[in-house]
Amino acid sequence: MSTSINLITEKKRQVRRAIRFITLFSIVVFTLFFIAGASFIATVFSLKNNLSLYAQNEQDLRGKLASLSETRERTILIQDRLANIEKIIKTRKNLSTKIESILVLFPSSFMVDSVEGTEKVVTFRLSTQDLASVDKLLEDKIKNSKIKNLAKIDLKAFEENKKGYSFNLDFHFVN
Amino acid sequence: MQDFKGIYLKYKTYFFPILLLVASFFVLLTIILPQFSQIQKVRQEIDAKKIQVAKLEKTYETLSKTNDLDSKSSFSTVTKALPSSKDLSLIFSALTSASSVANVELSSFSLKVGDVYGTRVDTASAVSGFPAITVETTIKSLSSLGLVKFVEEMHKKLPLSEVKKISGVEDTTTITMSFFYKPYDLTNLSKQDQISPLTSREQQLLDQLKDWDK
Repeated sequence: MSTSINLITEKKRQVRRAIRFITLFSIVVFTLFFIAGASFIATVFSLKNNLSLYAQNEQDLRGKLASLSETRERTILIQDRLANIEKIIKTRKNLSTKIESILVLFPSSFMVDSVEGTEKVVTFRLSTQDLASVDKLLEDKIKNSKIKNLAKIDLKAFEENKKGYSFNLDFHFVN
Repeated sequence: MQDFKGIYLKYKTYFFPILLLVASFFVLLTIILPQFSQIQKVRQEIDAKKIQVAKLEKTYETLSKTNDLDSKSSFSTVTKALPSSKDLSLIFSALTSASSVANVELSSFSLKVGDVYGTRVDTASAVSGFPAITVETTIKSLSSLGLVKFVEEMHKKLPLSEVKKISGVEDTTTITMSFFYKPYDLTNLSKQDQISPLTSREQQLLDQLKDWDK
């Protein structure tokens, strides 16, 4: 008799305990979510405030820079021009150094009748009264020359004329 | 009505926790998750603004320290070295100056026909894609050294040029050269937000150009 009464009371007690637990759990969860939500809203508000300060700072700086617009444009153009000028100076060829390096090879007994030159080949028409000096020029000076980027030398159009001996020397360059 | 009252009385202890859980779920979906993504977005915007402000501050610092006279003088030099358009007076001035220094006689000079007032950009004979105007000039020199000196001097004159071909007989030589120019690309230039001071390399180049311009 007393056992059946005890069972019903125990079951009710368990149910009440479960309900209390669930209630407490839901209160805790809601409180935590509420606090989290409020914190997030406060954080967003603070960040947006920061953002508007930076935006204001940017506006102020743009306002100051507007008064320096002429200097700004000039500076940009100067730097742009310098970058392009540097490219040109690095890339352009200097024909005078090639011609000069060849001219120093010719002794005073030789006359330069003509010169034709491009980036790839420089041609000198030379004349001399002394045939032996032609041999010396070719065997000694030209063979031992240290002309930069020289690929080959051709001797062409050799002839005897009123100037003595005339011929073309073609100096071919790799670049 | 009696049924609802009966259900309510039977389950009233469950209503409160269920209500709280539903409210929690509602707070999660409508406040927490949207605000979390908003925080990420605003942080990114702040980072972008910080970078922009730093660029503008650096630009302002550079420009406010720039001496106006120096800047105008430098601008004049660089635009003389690489004009934005074909400038015959500059070219002629460079040729006469080089001939004077090299002690040669400048007999004549001519331009490639059709290029003087044309708007079409000719890059066929140019260095590294720069447009150029082709000039043919004839000089008279008693020796080859005068010719060499003239070509050397042209290398140091403004506007910048490059000798493409030399053809000489006795004392008369015809020299074909390209004078470079480059129009401004204003769309690209206007997009620039950050301006830094000239680097030491740029300053050296500018000094060299000023030296050539004397």
